[in-house]
Amino acid sequence: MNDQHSYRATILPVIEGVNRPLWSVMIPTYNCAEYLRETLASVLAQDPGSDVMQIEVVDDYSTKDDPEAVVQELGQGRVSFYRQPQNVGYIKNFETCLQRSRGKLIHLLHSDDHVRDSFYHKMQTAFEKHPEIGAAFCRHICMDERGNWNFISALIETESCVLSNWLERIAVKNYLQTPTIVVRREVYEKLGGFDRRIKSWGEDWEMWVRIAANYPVWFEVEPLAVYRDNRLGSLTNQSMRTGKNVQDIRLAAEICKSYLPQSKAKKLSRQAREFWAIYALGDSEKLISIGDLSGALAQIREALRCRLSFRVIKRLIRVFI
Amino acid sequence: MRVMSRSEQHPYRASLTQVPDGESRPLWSVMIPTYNCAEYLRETLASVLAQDPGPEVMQIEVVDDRSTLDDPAAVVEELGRGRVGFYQQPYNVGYIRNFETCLLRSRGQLIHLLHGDDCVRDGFYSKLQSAFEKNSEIGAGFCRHIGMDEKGHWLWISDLEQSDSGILSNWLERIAVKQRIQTPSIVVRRDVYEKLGGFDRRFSCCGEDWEMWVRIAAHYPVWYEVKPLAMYRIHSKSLSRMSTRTGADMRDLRMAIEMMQPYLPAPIATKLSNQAREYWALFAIRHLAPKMLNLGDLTAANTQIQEALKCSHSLKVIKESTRLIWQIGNLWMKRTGSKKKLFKTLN
Repeated sequence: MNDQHSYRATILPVIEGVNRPLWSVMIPTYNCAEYLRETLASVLAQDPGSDVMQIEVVDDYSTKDDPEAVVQELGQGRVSFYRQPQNVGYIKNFETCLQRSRGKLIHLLHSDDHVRDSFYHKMQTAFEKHPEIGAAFCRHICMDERGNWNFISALIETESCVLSNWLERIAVKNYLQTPTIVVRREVYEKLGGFDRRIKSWGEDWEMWVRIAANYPVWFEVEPLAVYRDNRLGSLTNQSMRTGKNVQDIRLAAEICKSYLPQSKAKKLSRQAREFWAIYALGDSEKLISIGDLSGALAQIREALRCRLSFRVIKRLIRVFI
Repeated sequence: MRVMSRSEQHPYRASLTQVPDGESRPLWSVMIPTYNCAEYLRETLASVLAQDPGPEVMQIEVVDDRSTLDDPAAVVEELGRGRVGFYQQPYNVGYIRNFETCLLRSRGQLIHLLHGDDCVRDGFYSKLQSAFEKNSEIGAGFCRHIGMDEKGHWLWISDLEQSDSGILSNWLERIAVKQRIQTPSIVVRRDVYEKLGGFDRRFSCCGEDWEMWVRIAAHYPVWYEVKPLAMYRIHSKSLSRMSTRTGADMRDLRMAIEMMQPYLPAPIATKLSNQAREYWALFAIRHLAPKMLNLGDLTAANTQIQEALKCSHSLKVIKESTRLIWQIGNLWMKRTGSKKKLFKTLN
């Protein structure tokens, strides 16, 4: 469908004759070898064998640590390792992950996140029983830098199921984190990779909306993925300090709008921009609390550009009180 | 010594005598009170038995408060296969008395009171055991807990009190202000209950646990395990509990705050009590009253607001209750308005 899309990597089908496992667990990494240990251990504990699962670490030219050593130590030859010839940025690195995958189901597992027991088993069953689905995701648990859990994502359905109205729900806010979702490779082949116009934030959300617009999506009720929440650390990111992240998410919302049924597109898109504006105001509060006023102002400015509504203004007033 | 004599004669608290010399004493007593929750008991028992170090090390006993709707004895037999003890009250004694029986029947050195609808996760007993072994001065140890619903779906994780396991600092001041512990997550040395007495019987529906944890914090260091190793179940039915309708829950909590005041260091006792009062008043206004409103029970919502205002008059409480009263007023007007219309059409 989007084979020639200029902003999205083309994911070519796997060449015939190449051995195709069911799973591709692709692990992008960049300067986080200390966490990679836990990530790999969580996958290897569920390893169904190399015939069934490709496991590969794709390093975006780490400069501070040596992911290859960790891969060798834990993988003992089971886990392959690819290193970019130079730093290409995280979205391009994800792209490489997709392109290097050979399996039918792709799990993009950031190297500071991990999975809980039976993640692969549950997801596999969902795809086997529901061949129509394009993707499946589970609830997640957020953890901090030290691995302490601090939050469980919402129980959006009380049973595992193919989600109804999913496009309208995911179009308004991002319910999921990347380690929770498994996507059929074929879906990426049809829809293309992540959108390169989105540079710092929201490329994942845009992809999940794009998938929701084209395929049914499965929800697994158990929280089987653990996501490391680095929001506190990311406060010092350039994109956060300049408000570029909010510009990106606004762009993502704009792109997503075109996937929505016309009758509702305007309303849903407005809701999404309101959601992200309020989110940005939350970030501005955090920036104030660490004393970064110019960063906070950038967030506020971009939030108001994103959506100017009664609710957003109400939230803005709370920032100052 | 002062404490001991007080608890021995306390009119509202069970006195636990020491386990007689010569009787076999396991390290652990896992005491499981039940009342009409046999379907969950299966999971509870399975979670304990999966970590069973053997009968010499761990007493496991279900204490049933005369269930009427199901048969916990059958579950105990099926899963326990003789490993798990079972005691049934001769008649329904109420949950606090049933907890008391649990404590009285325990023989171990560490008591884990595990409600028959909650459970533990792998590693609970080994982690807490090593905390008691390495820190002989602690009176109790607790871990974080995960809240779950009737279907066992995880809903929340309790607060991270500190980022590493260890003895909590300023614990009394923190636990005195709000309830931070759920019962399945805490293990208490039996000799602590022997010194301080059992749960206070004056409570009718809640607060007895919190009062106990504060009492313990006032006398002993408390250990915190950072991993969430206990599962605590909430029931949607409990939202419409009679105690919330009548405001009995808020009265119990107010009573708990009064009871605790003497345990607190004098210079800050009043301040902490006021904070606790504000916390519970806001809890009533933010959670209990709106739930009653959602159920359409305006009277109960009003009762909760009144109880909240009896609890605390802080600026925040007044501000938030005013907003809620305004909402209730609107709802009430709409209702009575439509009633009048209804009468008109009937006439």
